[in-house]
Amino acid sequence: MNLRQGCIGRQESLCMAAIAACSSGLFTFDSSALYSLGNSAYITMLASAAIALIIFALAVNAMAASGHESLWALLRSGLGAFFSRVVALIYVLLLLACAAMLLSRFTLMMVRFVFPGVLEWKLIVYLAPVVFMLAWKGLESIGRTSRLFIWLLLISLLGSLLLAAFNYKTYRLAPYLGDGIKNILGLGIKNALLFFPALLGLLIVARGVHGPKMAKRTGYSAAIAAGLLCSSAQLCLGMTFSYSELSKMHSPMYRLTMNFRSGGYFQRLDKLLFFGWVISSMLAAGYYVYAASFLFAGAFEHNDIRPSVAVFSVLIIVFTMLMHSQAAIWGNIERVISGYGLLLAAIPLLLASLLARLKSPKKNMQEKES
Amino acid sequence: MKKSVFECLRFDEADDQFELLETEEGTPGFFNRWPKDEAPQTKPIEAPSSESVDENEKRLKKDFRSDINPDVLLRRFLIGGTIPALAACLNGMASRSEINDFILRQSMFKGVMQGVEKNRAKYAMEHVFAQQEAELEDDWDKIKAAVCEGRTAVFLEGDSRAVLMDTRSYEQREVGAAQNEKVIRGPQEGFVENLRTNVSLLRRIIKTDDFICEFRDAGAMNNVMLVIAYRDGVVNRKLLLEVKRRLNSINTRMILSDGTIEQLTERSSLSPLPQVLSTERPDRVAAHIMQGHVAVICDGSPTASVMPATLFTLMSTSEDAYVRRPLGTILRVVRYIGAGVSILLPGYFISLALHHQGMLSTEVISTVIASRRMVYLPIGLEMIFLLWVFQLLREAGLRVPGSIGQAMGIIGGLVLGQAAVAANMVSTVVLIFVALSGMGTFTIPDHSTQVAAEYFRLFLVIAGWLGGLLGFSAGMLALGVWLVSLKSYGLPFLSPIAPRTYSKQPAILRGNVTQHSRATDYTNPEEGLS
Amino acid sequence: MKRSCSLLRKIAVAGLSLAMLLSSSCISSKSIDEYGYATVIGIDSGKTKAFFVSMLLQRGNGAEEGAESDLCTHVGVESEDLFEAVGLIESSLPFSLNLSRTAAIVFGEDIALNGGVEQLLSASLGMLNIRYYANLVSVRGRAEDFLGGIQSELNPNVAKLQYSFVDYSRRTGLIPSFTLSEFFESTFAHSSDILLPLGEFNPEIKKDSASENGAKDGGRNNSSAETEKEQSEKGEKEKSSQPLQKAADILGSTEYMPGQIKRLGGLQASMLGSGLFHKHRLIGYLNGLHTQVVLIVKGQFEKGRIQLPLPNGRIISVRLSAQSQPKIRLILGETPKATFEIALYANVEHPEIREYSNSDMEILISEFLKKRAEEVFLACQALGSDVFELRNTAVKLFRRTSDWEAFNWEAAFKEVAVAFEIAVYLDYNPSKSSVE
Repeated sequence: MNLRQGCIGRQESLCMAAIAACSSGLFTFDSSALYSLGNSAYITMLASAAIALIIFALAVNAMAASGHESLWALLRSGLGAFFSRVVALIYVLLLLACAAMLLSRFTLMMVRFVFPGVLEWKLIVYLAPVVFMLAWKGLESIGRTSRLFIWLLLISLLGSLLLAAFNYKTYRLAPYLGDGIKNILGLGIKNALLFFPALLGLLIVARGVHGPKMAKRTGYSAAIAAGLLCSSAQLCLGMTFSYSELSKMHSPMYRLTMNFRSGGYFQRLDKLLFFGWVISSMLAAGYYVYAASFLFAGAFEHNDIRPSVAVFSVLIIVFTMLMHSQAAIWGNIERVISGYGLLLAAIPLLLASLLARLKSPKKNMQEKES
Repeated sequence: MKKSVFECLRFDEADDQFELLETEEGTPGFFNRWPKDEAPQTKPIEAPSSESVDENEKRLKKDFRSDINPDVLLRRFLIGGTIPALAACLNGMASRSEINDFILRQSMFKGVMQGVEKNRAKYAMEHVFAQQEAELEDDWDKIKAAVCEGRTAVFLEGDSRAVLMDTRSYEQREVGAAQNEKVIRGPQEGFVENLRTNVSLLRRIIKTDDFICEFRDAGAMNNVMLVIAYRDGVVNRKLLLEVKRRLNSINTRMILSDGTIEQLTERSSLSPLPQVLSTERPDRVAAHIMQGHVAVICDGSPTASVMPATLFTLMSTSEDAYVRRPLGTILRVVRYIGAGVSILLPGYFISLALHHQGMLSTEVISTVIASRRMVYLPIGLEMIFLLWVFQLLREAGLRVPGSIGQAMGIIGGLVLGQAAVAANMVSTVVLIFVALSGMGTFTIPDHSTQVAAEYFRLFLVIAGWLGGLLGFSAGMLALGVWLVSLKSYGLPFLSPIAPRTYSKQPAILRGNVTQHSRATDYTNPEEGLS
Repeated sequence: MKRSCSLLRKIAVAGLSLAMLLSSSCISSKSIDEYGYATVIGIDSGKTKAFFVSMLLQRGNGAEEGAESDLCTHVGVESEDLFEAVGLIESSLPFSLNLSRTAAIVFGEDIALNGGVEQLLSASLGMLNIRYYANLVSVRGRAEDFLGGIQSELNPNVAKLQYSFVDYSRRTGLIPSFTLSEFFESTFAHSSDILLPLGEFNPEIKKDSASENGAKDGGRNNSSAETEKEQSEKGEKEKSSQPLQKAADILGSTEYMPGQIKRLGGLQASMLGSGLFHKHRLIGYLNGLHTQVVLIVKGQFEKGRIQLPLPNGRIISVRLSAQSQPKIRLILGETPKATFEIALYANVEHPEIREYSNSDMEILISEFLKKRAEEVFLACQALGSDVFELRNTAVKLFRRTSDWEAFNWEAAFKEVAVAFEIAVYLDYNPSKSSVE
């Protein structure tokens, strides 16, 4: 078996999942949808993280209760061989789409702000091999690299928020509750898909993080950390730009860094901080590709993960290029995914969790004993 | 005259130049490999020694080619005046006085072996020969290896076993200061080429009963010995077995230093970074052994290899522990900053200069433009050229002897640099960056790691040249991924940072001396943490 | 066999990676010394095209001697937008233009009056790598003259001008500081009307030798082929006619206006006061003192000095600094009412004045500032310019976005009755003397 899973500790798995969740939460949301009803995205993000966490918690508790060590085993137990493979394929595509979206957003940011006029594929050529290398090396490498770079990434993120602080004005957040609590919750549900893939990855590699119980603790911590960080970032964005500005921005986080105080060295730090985020996006994409390959290998009983990694790495390059060249079509797909994606992702998982729990051997054994 | 002219015109004479002709049999491979890729180097097992002294003498003469090899001394004598015996040793390797005083003289007392018909060798070893170290052996290869080492083998008539006694005495270097690892505060001794002496240097520091030094053959045809040193009960058994397993797999023609052993036992042979710590200092080796590491010392080599090694092991020096905490901390911080500057600064500057000029202040841009006004090399090539020149000067300074070497460095640095700027080959700004980067390299204590830094630096310069900060950050991440996946005898190279292991001592800053009560957690020692 | 396969695999992967990288080639093949860095951009109206774009290019670093000591080159061309201007200017330069070090964009009066500011800045300036913290400036007269006037031996590094102007704004409050990023906020968020620092070129100030050389070598690529004499005559004519035919100080004063102050030496270009805009069109000027008051009310004032006229006719200097952010109470309804609560620290710079107690002096200062604030607000309100950012307070009163979007703020602004409550805390001890 060459699944390159190994075993990583809590700090590594937390860093890995938190980086993935933060990257997706900060850089892949749809601005026009998120800010259309006001500047309450800081509440929306908290709601999204909470909803993703609830779905994760239900699934991981079912895994722990039923004695399954990985998501694939849970799906198979709950849904049977055929439907579990279908669901696994959906999750594989979801993870690859998330990885591709991350790369696509960053490529677009680079084309707009850093390397104006450069063709996208010339930039992807730098990102994709590193993503491939991460996924190829396996879970241990991804986890440890995340642990290694976590301080750099925290400084990139928090540094951006702190350096732009002089420009924060609370009036830009008004109206403070956007268009009402109901709308905020609705947006929260739609945007839960931003945080969900990172937690889904933890379910997939649960054995590599010392089992479902540890995966649960890690997932909780990662979701809370990511939710708080993304919410803080949205609060800072909301205090820097009004909602009408934000809804027209493709890359509000980068625009935030362009507002650093003029007249000093810090005004030139935007690109440096940006490339800290690029590192986080590559780590997140590597994690998603690995999780997708691992799930695929489990679903179709492959003993070696490397062919899947190679194929999926090429696939995300294709997806990323499609996102640029067929932006109109991809925009429609993105709208569908952001509208209904969570349902598509959550329902099979919750169903499988419920059924697996009902069929769980631990429970049956306990019943027999009693 | 006539004859020489005719001789010039002859074309039928054989060429009398020496030529090394191919003698291998079979069809050569496509890439000119030998048919058997890994030919076994060790000889087949020989028959044990004989009970007859004459036969043993004949065999020794034949094996050692004593007709053309006058170093071998074969001395026939009678033990106790009655029993024929043969002493075999190598001239220049064995001590004459020890043989004369404690073997031959002891043997020549009348009646020393009276009535001994069986187990003569054992009796002689116990009652006749006054030697501290003596053992019985009938393995012919071991007897020959012992003679080659400088020991004396004594054969007795009627016993197939020989008595091997340690009579080694040859010229060797005195224990002096470590040449390449100088410290201001701390022990000044360094290893020498003699294995026994090196082991004694360690034993003077580790005076415990669980300190084990296993002597064994290195696995080369030149019969070099090595020692595996560790603390039994502290070291992780799996680590020890892995070290032994890898050493057992060595089957090579010759081993001349521990460097060969390192290369034959490492897993990532293409890695610029070493996977063991190579050090000349006994105190450093002892410190690691106390912490649960394993050391391998090879005869003939004044360095020891300590495994497993992490990046932080390679970046630390023994002096860090001997000085006080604030001083040790600042030394380490400067070292890491120096290493960081050395590896990252050239690539970072190239990224900004070529792709992100807006990140530089107007003053710096103006200065760079002014300094590069007539320079014809593109800035990326200029940087690589200067890095190469710096390496050239460094190598030249190492190879040129003594006082000239220092002058070479000064002349090279000042004159060459100034001339290159005046000739518009390079600019002053790039020269300064390369010099800073070079200075940073010298803060890295381990020589192999210094060289590895050159690779990383070049890689990042090329990445920054091609892709700006995108290439630079992708390159940094790729390096990070490679580093975390590198292992040294099963231990991740970036322990205890990634993976995070239990350690009260910080990896980079100097910890408190009172925290040295436990072995390092990342080697999973048997001692445990209680 | 295994080892050779592994080695072949590694070679194949390395080869593929190298092929990928080489096929993509270097992202940008231009080196740092192959660019000319535009530090200031000037925008005027063109004769045959929409704009006349002029630029100051930073060249040397002041370390060279002779002709190479020229630090800036002044270039310009007529074009429809910035992109075309860059392309046309590069046709006459031995290097490419790089706008990533642009510190300021200066708008001439004619462009500011006819709405050219928004037209120019609505393009994708990110593609030109212009930094969003570049300052925007409006000038009385032509921007190209202003650019010529800021070159001097006093200031070899034109980019440092940005720092000095921002610092001047912070120290005195006599000019505002406004960046491109804030312009986008006012455009897309419709937050408030903009107030740009006001500059002017004064030809009467004698040039120093460095800027003369710069003018000779770099030259100005004027769109017309007029002689120098004709140009200077035209310039004089335009200048004298400016206050009457074009924009003017909305409160009718001439003190603390750039170009009106009698001075000797310094840069030919100066900045004082501000240009007042409504919907991105220039509607008039505020002098330095009125600008100060606007900044105090907006909460952008750090410190500065005012000249306070005493009842006995004497004029004294008073140093002011902001105590806290101003509080604004706004009541919307049939007759909207806004109350500005401002707190300032003050220090009278004349300790020998003993005839007024602390509380008297505080009242004097407070009344003076209140009067000035009221007259500025009423003038701006009459012109429809919400430069005091009342809109930003109004939005906070709404709970839902849809309610706010349905509200007509512009109509409400015209009806707002304003009151200023300025509390001054005087740090003034009559027992101190000027000896200390």
